[in-house]
Order: sequence, then structure tokens, then C-alpha cells
Amino acid sequence: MTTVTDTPLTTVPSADEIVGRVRDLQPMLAKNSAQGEADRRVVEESITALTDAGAFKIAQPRRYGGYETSMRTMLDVSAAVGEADGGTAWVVTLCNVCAWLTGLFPEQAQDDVWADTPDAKVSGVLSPTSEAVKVEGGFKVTGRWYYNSGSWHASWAVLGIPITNADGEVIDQGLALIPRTDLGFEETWFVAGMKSSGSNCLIATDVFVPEHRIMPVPAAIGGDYATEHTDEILYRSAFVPLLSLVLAGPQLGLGRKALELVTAKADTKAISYTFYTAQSDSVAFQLQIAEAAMLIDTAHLHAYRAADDIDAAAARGVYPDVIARSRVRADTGWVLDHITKAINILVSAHGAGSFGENNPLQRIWRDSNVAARHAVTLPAVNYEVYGKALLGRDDQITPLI
Amino acid sequence: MTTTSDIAPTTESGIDPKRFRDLMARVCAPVTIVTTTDGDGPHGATASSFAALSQDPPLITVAFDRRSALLARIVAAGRFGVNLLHHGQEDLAMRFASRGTGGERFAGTPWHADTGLPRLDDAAGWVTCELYDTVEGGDHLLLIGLVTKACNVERPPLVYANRTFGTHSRFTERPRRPIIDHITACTSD
Repeated sequence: MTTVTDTPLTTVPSADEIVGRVRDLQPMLAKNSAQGEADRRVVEESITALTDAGAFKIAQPRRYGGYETSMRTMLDVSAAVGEADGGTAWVVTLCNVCAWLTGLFPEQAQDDVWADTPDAKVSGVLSPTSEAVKVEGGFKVTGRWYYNSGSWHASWAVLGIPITNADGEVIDQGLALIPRTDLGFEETWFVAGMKSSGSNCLIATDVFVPEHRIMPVPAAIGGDYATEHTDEILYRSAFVPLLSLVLAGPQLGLGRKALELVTAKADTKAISYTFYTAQSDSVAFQLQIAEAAMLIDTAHLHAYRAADDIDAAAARGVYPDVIARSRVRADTGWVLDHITKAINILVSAHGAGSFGENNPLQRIWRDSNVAARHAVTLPAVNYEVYGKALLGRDDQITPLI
Repeated sequence: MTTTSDIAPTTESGIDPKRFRDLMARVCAPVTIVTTTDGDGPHGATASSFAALSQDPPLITVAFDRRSALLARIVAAGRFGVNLLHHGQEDLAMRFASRGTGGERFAGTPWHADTGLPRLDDAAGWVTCELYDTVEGGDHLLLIGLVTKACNVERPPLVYANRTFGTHSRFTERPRRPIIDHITACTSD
């Protein structure tokens, strides 16, 4: 790049420093979590504080003042927020991954989003549940996209479309970058967990999207991105692996927090209807704590192995092969499997009090379980993808690898 | 025609009505949910009589029993929508074919208003129609609809034959580009 002088001077903090800033906010984020559930949107105080702390900059290009970090740091930050509140962690995670997606678009599209508004947040949905009509200079898009996490806070959205030719035939699949002001909105997120994530429905009716704000998806799955800035390592990360693994981040924090909460009460909480006056005296309880801790550790080992696979390949400028990419999906499923098992053990060990409305454990249990059902992270599906890849079978079950 | 005529053993043609019904049961039919709306909210009913009629102008037909409550509402509203169901929506077809008010049928069914007509979120196709003409046909009234909007999703269509729901067995062998499967995989829930 010869336009170095155009680049704003961004001081990029270390991952530890960003996580430290988030940790400082944890008491406030946790205090707001019940209100966030009641409102079905993260409390604005939390969003503002996280924005000020740079939590939404970690996957934004440095050209716009972002930190342009790594898959590893995305996990670190999502997990740190997740220790305080699942719904907030989900919003941070999804806005960051959509910022990453925006970083794959041509520079002109990125300018549209960030040149004048460097703090702009982007939400998004990959499913092309829409129609796109080819018109002069772009497409007219009509559709409805459910589950736009962070929709309350985003001013842009990346939304799946079928790409058509002049005859109306579908010739490709794409992501369209559309300003929120062009989109309708319906509140549709009425769920058992991740209530505050604001995963609502965005609606387009004949919205014109210029060519430069359309990104082909199959090409991206194969590692062919539109950004001209091919020197930017983060935007060479593998497409589906990153989209999948990023969703494990909040889970790591939820698991760690559950273990911390249950362990902290163990010396003062009895085991009801037994002679144990402290849970920590019970060998059965000790085994449960050890098992939960090991399951959570296992989740971390796999999450960070996968993150390092993604980061190392991007740094080398190599696009990982199908087996390596499938393994990240399997790793992601493994994280969810083990975190949800660990949390189940912990709520059983802690007892029925886990489910009291004033006990944060019940929210962690609901948030973790609901988030663990996101379609690109489902363990059974992800293991099947990996198994088929290992066996070199030609009956793969999804294009999303 | 009086309401007792359909249980009489003979009709104008003299054939046994049961034989006729059994024959027609073997005819492979599309499964649709036709909807309209008025001051009482959304209304809809399952219909297997949906068919293409004309290309220019784009016309479709769908027939309803004259006693159908929905029919009166469509005629009054002068417009209706047709949801083409996919092979996973047998339960919806049953619900909208059973007794119950519009509200009961729509409760628990994700839908939204599309150009003012109730559209099921997950249907495989969607057509909005202006009521263009009607044709009397025995105990049914044939509605001719002028299509004003048509939307498609690549999903196996729900068909009904021999009183059984399914899709046609060679659907997966249909000619298509690989990108269609790609998109189908990303839109199915």
C-alpha cells in the first residue's frame, strides 16, 4: 500500500490490555444483565462503556481506527464479556464478527460504513432468505432476515442474498451490506436465553444495493475475498472457521463464571437433606467440581487450538484445506458440548437454588444452552462435517466449511 | 344446490360420489394455504385446487366450497395470498384444514403481513393476487386471481396424493446448478 499517510495513527492495545478494560467493566455489565433481559436489549450504558473501551474495535481495520487483532483476541474479549453477561457477550461477538465481514468487502464499501463514522456497528445474517433483482449498477433486494443479534445497536447490516442475472436466474450467493436506515425492523426475539441479544428481524423492500456492497459467499468460503488490502492478516482468516469459532467465545466466559460462582459458595452452602453442612466437604461434590473444571479446560484447549490454526494460516498467507477448516467446526462443537456439560454438572452440584431468578447461574445456564444451538456450531452437525472430511467422502452435508 | 345434495347417491351425472372422490384422491395435488385479511384479523385455509391458468396476464385459479367462510372473506376483500407449502409443512396443512378460527390457526404459526396479506414466514412460495374473476362450478366457486407478486424459495414442494402428504421422489434429481443447493443449505432451518 502506498497510502500509508492516509492511515489514522491507531495505538493498538495488547490483548491483555483490552481484556483488562473489559474486566474493569464487569461489575456494571453484570448489574445490567437482568435489565437487559427484561428489555430484550443490552442496556445502553453497557454498550457505551464497551464501545469506549474499544471492545467493538477488535475486528475493525486499523485504517478506520480499529485494532484489527486476531481470532485469539476475539475469543479473549468475547469470553471476558461473557463472564459478566451472556447477552452482552453475544452482541459484542456478533458485531465484531460482522465488522470482520465488512473488512472483507472492497474498500469503497468499508468507506461507506466507517469513513465518516468510525464507531459504526454492523449486524448480520448469512442466510439468503431474500430475493435480489439485477438492476443497473447493483441489485434491488427484498427479504426478511431473522436473528440479527445486535440489531438495536448496529447502523449497518450484512445480509444474505441470492445473486441473480438479468434473466432472474440465481447464479451465485452473496452478502449485501445495507445501511440500517434502508431497513425495516420487527421485534421477533422472544426466547429462553440470550434474551438481551436483540436478535430481531430486519426487513428490506426493494432496497437498492450497489455492486461494491455485494460480496460473493462461495468465493469467500474458498478464501477469495474482495478487499484490496491483502496485506491485512486478519482479513485473510478462513471464512467459515472464523464465523463458527467466534461463537464459542461467550461460552468460555459463561463456563468460567459458572465454575467461579459454584466454587465460591461451596464452603457456606450445605447439601440439602444430607449431613453435609458445606458442599466442599463432600467428595462427590469435589469430583463434580473437578470434572466441570476439566471440561471447561478442555473447551479452552480446543477453542485456542482452533484460533491458533486460523491465525497461523492467515499470518502465513495460506488458506487452510478442507480438513483443517472442518476441524475448526468440530473444535467449535467440542467447546459447546463441554461447556454445556460442565454447566449442567455445576447447576446440579450447586442445587435447586441455581434456578432462582436472582441467581446469575440460571441466566448462565439459559444463555449457554440457547447459544449452543446456533446452527453453525451444533456439535452433531460439526462432527459429521469433520468425519466426512477425514474420510474423504463426497457426500458432505454443507457448503459451509 | 341445497346442503343435502352432496350426500345423495346420485348427481346430475348419475355416478357414485364416493367413486368420484376416490378417483380424485389419486390425483397429485399441490398443497397451499390461501389467506386474506379483514377487520377480524388474518384468515387462511388449506387448498389443493391451486393451478396456473394464464401467462399473459398472469392468472391462477383456486376453488373453494361455497360454504367456506374464507371464500366469503376473499370475495369481500377482493384480494388474497397463496402460500405454497414445502415438504416439511404437513402439520400446517392439517392445521389450516381443520376446524378453528383464523386466530387459532395462525397462533403459533410464524407469519407476517406482506402487502397487507398474511404470509407464512417459512413457505416455499408466495403469490399475491387481485380477485380477477369468479366462475361458478357446482358446489364450488372458482376464483381467478391476477398475480401481483410472486416469490420463490428452493425447497421441496409439498404434494398430496392418495390422502398422503409428501414430495415427489425425484425432487433431488431435478436439473439445477450447484449454487441452488448451496443456497438451499443456507436457507433451510
